[in-house]
Amino acid sequence: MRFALILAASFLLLPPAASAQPAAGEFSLAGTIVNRLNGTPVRNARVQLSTGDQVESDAAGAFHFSHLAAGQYAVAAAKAGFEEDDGVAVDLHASRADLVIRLTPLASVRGRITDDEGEPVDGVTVVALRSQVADGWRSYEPAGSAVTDDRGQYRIPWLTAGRYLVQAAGYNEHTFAGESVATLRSHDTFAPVYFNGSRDRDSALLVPLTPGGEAHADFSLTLQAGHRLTGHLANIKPHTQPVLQLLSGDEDLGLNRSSLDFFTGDFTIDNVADGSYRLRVKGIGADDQPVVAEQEIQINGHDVTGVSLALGPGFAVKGTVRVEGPDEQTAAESVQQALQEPFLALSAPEGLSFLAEPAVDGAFRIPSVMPGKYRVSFAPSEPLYVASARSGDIDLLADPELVLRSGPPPEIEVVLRADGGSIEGMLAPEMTRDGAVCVFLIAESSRRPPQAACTDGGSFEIGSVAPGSYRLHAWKISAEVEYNSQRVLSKLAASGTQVEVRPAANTKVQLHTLSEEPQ
Amino acid sequence: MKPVIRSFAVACAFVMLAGAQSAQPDQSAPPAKYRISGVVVNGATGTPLSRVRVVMVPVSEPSKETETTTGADGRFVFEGLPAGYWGLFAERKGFPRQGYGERPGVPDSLTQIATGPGGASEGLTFRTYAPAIVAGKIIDESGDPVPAALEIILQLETGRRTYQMIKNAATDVEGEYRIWDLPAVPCYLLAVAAPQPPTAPDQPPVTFAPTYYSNATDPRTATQLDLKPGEEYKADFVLRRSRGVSIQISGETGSSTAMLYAEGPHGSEVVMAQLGPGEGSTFYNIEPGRYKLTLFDAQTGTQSSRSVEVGTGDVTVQVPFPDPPSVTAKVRLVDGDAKLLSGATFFLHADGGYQTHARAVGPGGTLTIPGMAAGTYKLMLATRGLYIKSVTSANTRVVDGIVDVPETGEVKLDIVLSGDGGRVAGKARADGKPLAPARVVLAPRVDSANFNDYRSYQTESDGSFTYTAVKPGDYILFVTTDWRLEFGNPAAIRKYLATGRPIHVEPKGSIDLQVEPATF
Repeated sequence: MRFALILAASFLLLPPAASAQPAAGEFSLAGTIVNRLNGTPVRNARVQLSTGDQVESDAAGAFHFSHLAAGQYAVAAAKAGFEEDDGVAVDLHASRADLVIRLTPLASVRGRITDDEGEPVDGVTVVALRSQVADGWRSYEPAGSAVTDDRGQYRIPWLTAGRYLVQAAGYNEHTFAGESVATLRSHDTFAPVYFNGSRDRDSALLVPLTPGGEAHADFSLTLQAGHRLTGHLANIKPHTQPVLQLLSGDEDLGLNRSSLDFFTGDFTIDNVADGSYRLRVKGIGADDQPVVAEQEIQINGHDVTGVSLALGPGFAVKGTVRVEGPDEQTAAESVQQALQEPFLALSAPEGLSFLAEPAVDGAFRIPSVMPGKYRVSFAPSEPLYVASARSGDIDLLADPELVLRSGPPPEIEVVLRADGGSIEGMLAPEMTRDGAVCVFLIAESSRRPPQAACTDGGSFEIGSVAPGSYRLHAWKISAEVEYNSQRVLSKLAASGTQVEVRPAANTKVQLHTLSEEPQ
Repeated sequence: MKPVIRSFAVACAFVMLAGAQSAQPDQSAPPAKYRISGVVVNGATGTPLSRVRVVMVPVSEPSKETETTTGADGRFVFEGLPAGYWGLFAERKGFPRQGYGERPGVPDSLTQIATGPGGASEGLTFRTYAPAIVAGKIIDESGDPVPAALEIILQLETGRRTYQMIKNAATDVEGEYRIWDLPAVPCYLLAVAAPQPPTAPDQPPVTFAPTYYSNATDPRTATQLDLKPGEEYKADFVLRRSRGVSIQISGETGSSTAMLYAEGPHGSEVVMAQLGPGEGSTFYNIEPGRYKLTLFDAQTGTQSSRSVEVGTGDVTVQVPFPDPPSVTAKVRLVDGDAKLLSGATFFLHADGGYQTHARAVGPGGTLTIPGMAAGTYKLMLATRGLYIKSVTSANTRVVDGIVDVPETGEVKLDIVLSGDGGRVAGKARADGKPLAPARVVLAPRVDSANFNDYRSYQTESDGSFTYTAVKPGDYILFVTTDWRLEFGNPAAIRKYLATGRPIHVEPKGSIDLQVEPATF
């Protein structure tokens, strides 16, 4: 019985009981749980004390703990449909009955999906993607999904406030309950679409959701006949575990009607709408090395048969790195040491990343990289900075996103220098009053990734800076600034505190206010 | 927020048996071009339906399908076709994909369209049915929504009326649910709420009594909903908090999911609770009664089970269950092409349950199904050209095609298949015209308790029907358009047996005949 109760308690959203408090005492602690938005009582909420004691609020939202000793308590409340709450700290010296815990209701998105003749469409999967910024990049996390019913209606509940993309993402078979999925292949389909009719994320509309709010997002879809794609995949080995992907642009469409015979290599993909695609197969080769195959596919009113792919190793990304500058600088021991360290990373948004370490002759090679969309980031060790980085025509400092298709990119040529300057700065005391602050160094004219330093004291330092004109911005550490976006960068390069960085020189600077967060 | 039931094994065996019906195009006809034409109507109202995608599939070459879309008058036409048989399917928003002649809830009900001389392929009325909709809200006694799983137990016409849990659905966060893909057949609904976190750490979780519509805890007092196509039914539930005894699982379940089954309406098997790996080891709030506790290992696909009797006190069940039962069959073929034996496929379908084990005969004529839940299973053969001549067992009860699988041990079966079956074919006609869709039933002249002895064929559009691999013997053949007829139940077809056509099937014999429906 004990064992089971411990497991049952793991359901709780509440923080685990903190340090043990004396259980018996003379005081009581009572109050109410209310909805933060409208003040209405929240009934049947679970109220937990840091001692582990737990009660449920009544119909009036009221709760009551008794026999408490004097001391420090944390009180937290939880109820389905409300944001998780950190709780409040109570210093109990006498009985009190006036504690109010406010819970923030979660938001939702609802809508209706109709076809071009206004008839409801059932079986459409609608996904809410929460927009967030991390490390200066915007990303979208799936936060919830729902399927339209026979009235074409959907509702995605329990979303935390924020900005969301809403996408009609897929369309399901419809048969009577209990019957097998029909073997027929004809089926209507549609290309995934975002709420404002956009097909790609960058031009899609972000839907703001306020706490407890409900956004409406209706879609009108044009259904079209789906087509079948069949073909053969060569070089499957028992350990390959191949996975099929159909991409439109760089977006994986998700395949819910596809099959691949691991023995024969024959595959079938159904319900593909007209359009241009890239068919990608990823798998595992010998020695756990990735294997891949890719093929461009055009679907234009007809089925496509006889697609032929062969799995092969990923390709090697090659490049060179050299240090420019006066001989005494390039030969310095610190520079030679820094060259031994990884200085370049290719990272895919889904988390895969490859690091490059230069060889003695300055050549580097990342073996077996898979096709995909990568971000190239540079982190040479002190005292080096990146003077330039190119892959063919692409300036990787200005455009760090590298899309790798069926072959390797042109050789990456990286030029490092050791004559960077540095910045030493002071922040006005009120800037760090609410916690740590991050300072960003944005190049005024040349496009290069910002450098940053975070501090909870008053001073900061940024080293190995390419000489040039910069602007400094400071935000709270929690600020979500999309500083890797070109649009945001160009705004930042025209505001903030100006600073000039000269070769091998230190510049001192004083910041007085936090910057506005660019939208 | 997890639904209580996450996966059905194979929902129904009969869908896989669909290929067992066969029809051969009339090869004697000279090459000519024919048409398939007709109008798609809402089967419930007779109204023509526009924007229906009609897909035509040649029976001889299923990958070569073609399609058309109906206009405002619901009409469709396919032209320039050779003689042959064709499957016809309709799909429209609000109307799940259905075949020509298909009756929702009547498994395996398809009528192929025959083109050719004497074919009947023009002026068809393609009746398609909207699903029934059941929607409602599940709340507790204080009016708060309760996250729950709904189990839908449908009446199925598979020769003998059965009730089977065929679908489950989950409420949304408001406690509301809506199911819009139900065939128009009688059904029962069961709401099972997952245990809620306890109100205090020393308390068991908050649990609710599993409740049938409308607010009945006993399946015998549950209300049957007789669903009609396109109709919407409201079925709300008020769940009461209850606290039965607990079943404690002692020991390691590993990667297995523990499922607790009980008997639902009309002998169906329903799921009362489920614990996935890592979801604890206690089934709370179990009412007194008889249950089956099954461990299903998703990694190996094997099962084991114990019957659990719950009285007034908590129960502890020791796991794992040692020596789980398996079925090993030695399959022999007499009077037939030995090639047919390898690859012959059997289904073992849990009686009243929804699980089906499918296995092909391996080299040496053996067939093994390791790790099964105890119960009675129907043994069916899904291979053309053969019939089951006999099934015997040295160590378990096998009666009328039903195999008893005990809780432990190996079940040894001896199965004899024969390839000397006869062929019975013909045409059903009424008023001088082909009768289609209609059901032609081949019933043994002497009542049999073995469901395998009763066979049904849904006529093609030219009224034709064909049985192959018919076990030699005496039969009565009759035709009916009563789709709810329990054709496998001798008592239900008594009057048809009295008026039907007696036939005698010789080994490897062939009979061709015309039949007309009896009038009563």
